[in-house]
Amino acid sequence: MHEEFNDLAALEAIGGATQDEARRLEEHCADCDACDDALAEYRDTAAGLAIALDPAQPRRDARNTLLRQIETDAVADSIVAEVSENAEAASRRRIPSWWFAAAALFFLALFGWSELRLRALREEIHLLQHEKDEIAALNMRLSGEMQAVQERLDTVRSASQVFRLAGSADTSRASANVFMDGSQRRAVVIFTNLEKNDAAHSYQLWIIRGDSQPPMSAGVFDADDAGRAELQVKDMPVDVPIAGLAVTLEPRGGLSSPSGTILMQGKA
Amino acid sequence: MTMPANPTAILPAIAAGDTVAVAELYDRHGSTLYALLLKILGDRPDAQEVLQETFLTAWRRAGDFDPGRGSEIAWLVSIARNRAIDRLRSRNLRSVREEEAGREIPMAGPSVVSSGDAERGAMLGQLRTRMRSALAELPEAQKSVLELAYFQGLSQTEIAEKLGEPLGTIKTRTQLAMKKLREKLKDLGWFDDARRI
Ligand SMILES: [Zn+2]
Repeated sequence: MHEEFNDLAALEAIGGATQDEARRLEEHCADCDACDDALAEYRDTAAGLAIALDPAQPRRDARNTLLRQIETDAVADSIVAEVSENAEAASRRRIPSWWFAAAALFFLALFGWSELRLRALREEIHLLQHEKDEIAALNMRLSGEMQAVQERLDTVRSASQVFRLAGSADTSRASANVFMDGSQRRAVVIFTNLEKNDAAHSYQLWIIRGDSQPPMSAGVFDADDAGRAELQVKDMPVDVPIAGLAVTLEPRGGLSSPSGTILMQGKA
Repeated sequence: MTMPANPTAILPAIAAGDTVAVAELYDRHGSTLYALLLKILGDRPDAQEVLQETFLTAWRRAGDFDPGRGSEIAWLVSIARNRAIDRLRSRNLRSVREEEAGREIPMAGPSVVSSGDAERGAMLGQLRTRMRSALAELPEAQKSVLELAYFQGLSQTEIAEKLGEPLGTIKTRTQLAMKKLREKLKDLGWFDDARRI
């Protein structure tokens, strides 16, 4: 019986099984580790047919196009997530109801409702008004974030240069993608696999100058628990040749010239 | 038996939303996938477009990757191949083009690896060499059914019609070829290495 499914697995891996055969195989593999493992090896075998080909180089700009698109995609995902979260919060909080409650209070007072009932209603209104203020603040924050996100997206989309920062020996897992939009003198840098910095230190990004002058600060940032960080650089110098970027760890807030060892760097 | 975990697996990081890891994935596997797409599609602009789609799909579906079902490269290759074969079918190629598709890309020539990681590049080169030696041991008739199924996306029935042979014969031949390759690759320790690139 396993022999039959071994045969089917060999066919399936190379795209040769019929729909019915593929379904029967899948059902069998759900309960049979031996045939499931065989199928995995046949899949790897089929991939070997691709690996056996001479590798071919895609167009040079394809990589940049892809990374720009993925960065845009990721930002869009995070916006969708945040907006839907806030919309949910707003609907939970029934924004307009404080106003109706206030009108109700006025009406009921006119008709001589008991002081006790009126006090309970007043408290409810107070609570609802407070929530309304919270939502207004949330909206303000969101629109501020949206503006920052928009700028980030613009920079990523119009980036004329995309390059990578690699970690040094001690931070070899760290890396970053740099999206540089030279014409607008701005850049977005997305970091990953950094060690989370403590409260007394900030990461600092440096512009390595092509004219052998000392590096210039391009801003400070913090890594989150997952080791990620983002930095938007605006107003990059126009008259300075940029050879590359580097990252050091500095006292909180950063310094005017680097004091720490280079943790990451890359050439522009 | 459970599959050995890949210590350098990168898809889990991508599944967690790490966009920088996509660059790494591209550097590791871009040139293998592009070669496959050129072989299937025989056309650079199309291959380029499907390559982008493949990595976008990998980015969006990285969470679906299951190391128990094969290596990372096999997962990517299967996304790329499925998309390319779909495109091939929808293109409704003239028969002349079909005849040529399998032969347009030469199998010989220098091996260039785009990865900046020299060690991984060397490992990929070794995988390629060993796979080619395994393929070289197959009779021509077996190689050609694999070619027709894998690179041209023909069903077993279509291959039987094309070659004017009974369906049962084609199936047996394909299965025999795959089994021989698998045995040979197993002897070479190929599967463990494929999970490390
Ligand atoms: Zn079984």
